[in-house]
Amino acid sequence: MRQNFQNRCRSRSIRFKTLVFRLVYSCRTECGNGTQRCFNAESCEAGHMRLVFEGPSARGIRACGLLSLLFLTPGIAALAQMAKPSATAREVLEAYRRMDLAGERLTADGWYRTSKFFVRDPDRGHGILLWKSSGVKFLRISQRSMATESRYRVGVRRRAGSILRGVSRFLYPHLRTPRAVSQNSVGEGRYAGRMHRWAGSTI
Amino acid sequence: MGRVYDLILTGTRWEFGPGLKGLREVRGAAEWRIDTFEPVPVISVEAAVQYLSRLLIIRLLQQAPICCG
Repeated sequence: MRQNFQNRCRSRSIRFKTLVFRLVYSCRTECGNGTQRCFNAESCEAGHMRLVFEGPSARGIRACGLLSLLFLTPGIAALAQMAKPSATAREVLEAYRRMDLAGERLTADGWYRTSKFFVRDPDRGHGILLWKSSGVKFLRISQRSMATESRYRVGVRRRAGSILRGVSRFLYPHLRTPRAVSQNSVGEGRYAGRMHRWAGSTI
Repeated sequence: MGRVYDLILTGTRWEFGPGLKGLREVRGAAEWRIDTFEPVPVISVEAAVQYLSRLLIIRLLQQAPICCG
């Protein structure tokens, strides 16, 4: 029983290899009975049938190329999707936090630069939050994956905060409009006017 | 006091067009990006002082009388 199974497997394996080989190489069966050339197995004497190989065939090679393209393309696309990003989620958030802490978003140019960190269309701000701690502390990190895209959740701790509006009103009561601050950059772009209004309402 | 950020691994981002006009959706290599937009800039004390000092200097320069020889 086992012997039969092994024999069947072996013959199937040989048949598959022969199929692939015949696809690439041009071959034919012929009767090897001396000068007699017949292509019919019944008319040939037993034991005389043989495969005659005539070298690689262009059609077979083309067919193999097409087949490999057909099977490999989805794999290549999947690999490209799985390519690792240049920075981890934490590094991206840290870079953004550093830029924000340094006051990048106080000017229109900085606003444009930080917009690359966001997925969606950034909306205008409503004020400035003064962060007394210059470091970035992470509360907790939890990662969850969705069906189509990966998500990463990072908590950032702020030790203390206060609205700059109150501080600046107390320290610099005569400063009302910051138009001159970003006059080099404000006046162009989508958020130029918004930036001015936003900053004006802050101080 | 804390804040939780949601980051998404996506190839879609927003980019300003030529001459910083018009915001358009661009597709490229997948990178981690912040999903939730933070409308309020959070700045350090040093940055705030620099910002206000700059405002003050510019305001003083604007109010200074034009001197002519």
